[in-house]
Amino acid sequence: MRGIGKDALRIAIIGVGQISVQSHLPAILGHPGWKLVALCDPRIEAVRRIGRRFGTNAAAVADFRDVLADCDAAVIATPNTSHSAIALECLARGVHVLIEKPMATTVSDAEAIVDAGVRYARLVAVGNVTRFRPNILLLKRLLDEGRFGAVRRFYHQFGTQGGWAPESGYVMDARRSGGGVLAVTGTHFLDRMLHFWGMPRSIHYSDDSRGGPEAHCEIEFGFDSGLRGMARYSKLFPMLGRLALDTEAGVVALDDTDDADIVHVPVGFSRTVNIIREPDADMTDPFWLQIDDFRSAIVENRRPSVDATQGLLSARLLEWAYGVRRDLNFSGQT
Amino acid sequence: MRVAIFGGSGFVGARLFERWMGSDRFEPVPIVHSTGNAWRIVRTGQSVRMCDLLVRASVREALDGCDVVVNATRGSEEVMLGGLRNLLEEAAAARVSRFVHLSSVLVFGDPPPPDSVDESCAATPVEGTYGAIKALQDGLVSRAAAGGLSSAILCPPNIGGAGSHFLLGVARSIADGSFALLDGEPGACALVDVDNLCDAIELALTAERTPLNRLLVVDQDMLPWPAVVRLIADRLGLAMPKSLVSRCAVAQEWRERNVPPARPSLRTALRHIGSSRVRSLLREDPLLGRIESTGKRLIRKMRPSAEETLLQATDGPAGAVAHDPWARLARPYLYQQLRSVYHSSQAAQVALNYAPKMTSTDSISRFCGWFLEMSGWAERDFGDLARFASETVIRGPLAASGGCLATHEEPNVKSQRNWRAG
Repeated sequence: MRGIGKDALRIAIIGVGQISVQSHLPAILGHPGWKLVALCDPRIEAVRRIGRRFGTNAAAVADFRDVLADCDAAVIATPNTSHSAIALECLARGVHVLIEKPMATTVSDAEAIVDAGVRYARLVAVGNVTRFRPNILLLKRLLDEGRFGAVRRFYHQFGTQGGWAPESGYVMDARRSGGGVLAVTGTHFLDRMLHFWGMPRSIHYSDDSRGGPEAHCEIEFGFDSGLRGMARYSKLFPMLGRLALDTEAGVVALDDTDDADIVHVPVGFSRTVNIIREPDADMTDPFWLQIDDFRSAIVENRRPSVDATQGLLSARLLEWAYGVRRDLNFSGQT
Repeated sequence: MRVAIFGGSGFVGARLFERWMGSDRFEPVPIVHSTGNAWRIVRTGQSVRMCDLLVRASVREALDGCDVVVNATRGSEEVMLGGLRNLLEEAAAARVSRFVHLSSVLVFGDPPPPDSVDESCAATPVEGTYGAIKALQDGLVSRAAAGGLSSAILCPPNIGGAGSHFLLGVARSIADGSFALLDGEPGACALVDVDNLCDAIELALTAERTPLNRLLVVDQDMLPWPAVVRLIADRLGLAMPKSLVSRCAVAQEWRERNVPPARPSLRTALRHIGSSRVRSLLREDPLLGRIESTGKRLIRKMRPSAEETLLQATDGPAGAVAHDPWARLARPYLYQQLRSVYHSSQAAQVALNYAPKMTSTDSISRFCGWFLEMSGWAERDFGDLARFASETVIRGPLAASGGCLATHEEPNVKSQRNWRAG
């Protein structure tokens, strides 16, 4: 769907790497409420090719500052440590921003973004796109309603053997990514965890970094409610992406895909497994839903569903974890 | 010596790198095609050199300053052959003092024939297979050796130890119930521990006499398949596979699948164009669709049965509904068990003084220890949830919280991803 509505807002994409090409660009081009006016990336020839491939006549520019005057909003999808500087520039020039996660790699940068959003009266949305999955919305509602009783423990894992090679290779440089697998892979769940249960009271974090970005990490959480949790992420060991909850009503599982159903294995029913889904769930691509929410928030002058204060919480949690890190050692490897 | 490790982010390349960090003898230079797989190296703070083997200038740049080369790359046929050609030529031009190439026992065929116990067996892999590509690679290295590049070719089977992709696949297949043993006399699960292989690579880099053509490098005490599966199942707390599958039937199926690729021919091409699959795609274009329907009308007018005859010629006979008795089994591991030769590394012992330090049993134990640490399955507080989270098929409830894993035997239920309402 390529039609642009007459009230379309003007948007630029800053950072035209893999996530932009795979997700943001198709979502924006498919939304009638947005008009893509610029693709901004120093790799200007690559950007021109991408523009031609998608059939857009958005300007290809090396420096995003050249187009801000013509934008209402921007998606920032550059290497993580550059998010803050770019966001501040955009906000100061009156441009609303949707910043890829993590919003910032330090608490001070995250606070600066929050402050700038307020000072310049511009919206800041954070690209924790999994929040727009219908199964996440449903699970949040079920948890809030206490449908499974008390949640005693949770466990989340996600692992691949390598994979995700961004064009810039920034994930290989902790100074540019703001960390390793926890920052690159774990932040989606950390955001959901904060959304479900708030900030933990205690954390224990360990990883296998030996001076570079960590490739495998484990983190344990303790909450004031007595809830305990653990998460494990790896770029070395494949693990099915799944959240498992140990609840009063049994075990609940949700896989890390857009279309996964919630699976409930009830206590006392040894041969029964319940599938929980919303029959009328909106299965539209979450990136489209995210950009739609961003636009609606601008038009209606409300907070986006994932806003800067939530991005700040994630940044606090990430900084806390790295601040208390301990070494992980595995047998057979140094 | 500074060692260019091509395939630096692979299982063997990364292990070489880890062994040589801080070494006085070997200074590793890991060279990779994609950063996506370089985590194991980059977590140490070491950078990698990027290289596209298909671009000579890129290879030249990657080799800069290196004394010797280890080639542990994998990739498409184009990369494995064209890329290796580039690498050999640039290595010769750079006058590296040794080129160690990792081959495979599959150069002898898949499965390797019984007389591939040692290197005197002729290499007769089926054309177009992985083993055939590896055999062609060996030929390239041998030709480079004849031209003056000091080289060694090492032939490992599947590679085991901590981090082994092969054993990881076997373990997961056992865990999800898709593994089955073959009946009859069990053969060897031919393995070499990654550290044993790295030892051999180090010896090959410093051997006095070359060329070293195809040396088999294996563990000293290879185990039969049931013993390997038992070790893994016991150590990881998994049920032993119950099914036994006919070895003859698996071998027959493998022979039928493992045939050389069809040679290009006009007749085959016309059959494909005329197939119903291709025609249904062509019908999406209005002009081609009109041509197709006109053609069908003409054929029907010629002879009523002409259309059926043509359909048979293009699509073949209509398919019958077949029952696949192995539908829920992981076929790759059925086929793997056909590779059952107890290879000997006697020649490597003589030529290199190769003496494997890790036994197969210890190697598999080390793998299992690594698996349990990475997966969290053995943890006191969350191990039960970690196991549950790893099940591709969710099987029944866990016991009460406290971390006890249920031992119910549950009927197989569809994996959560495949469930739909109803």
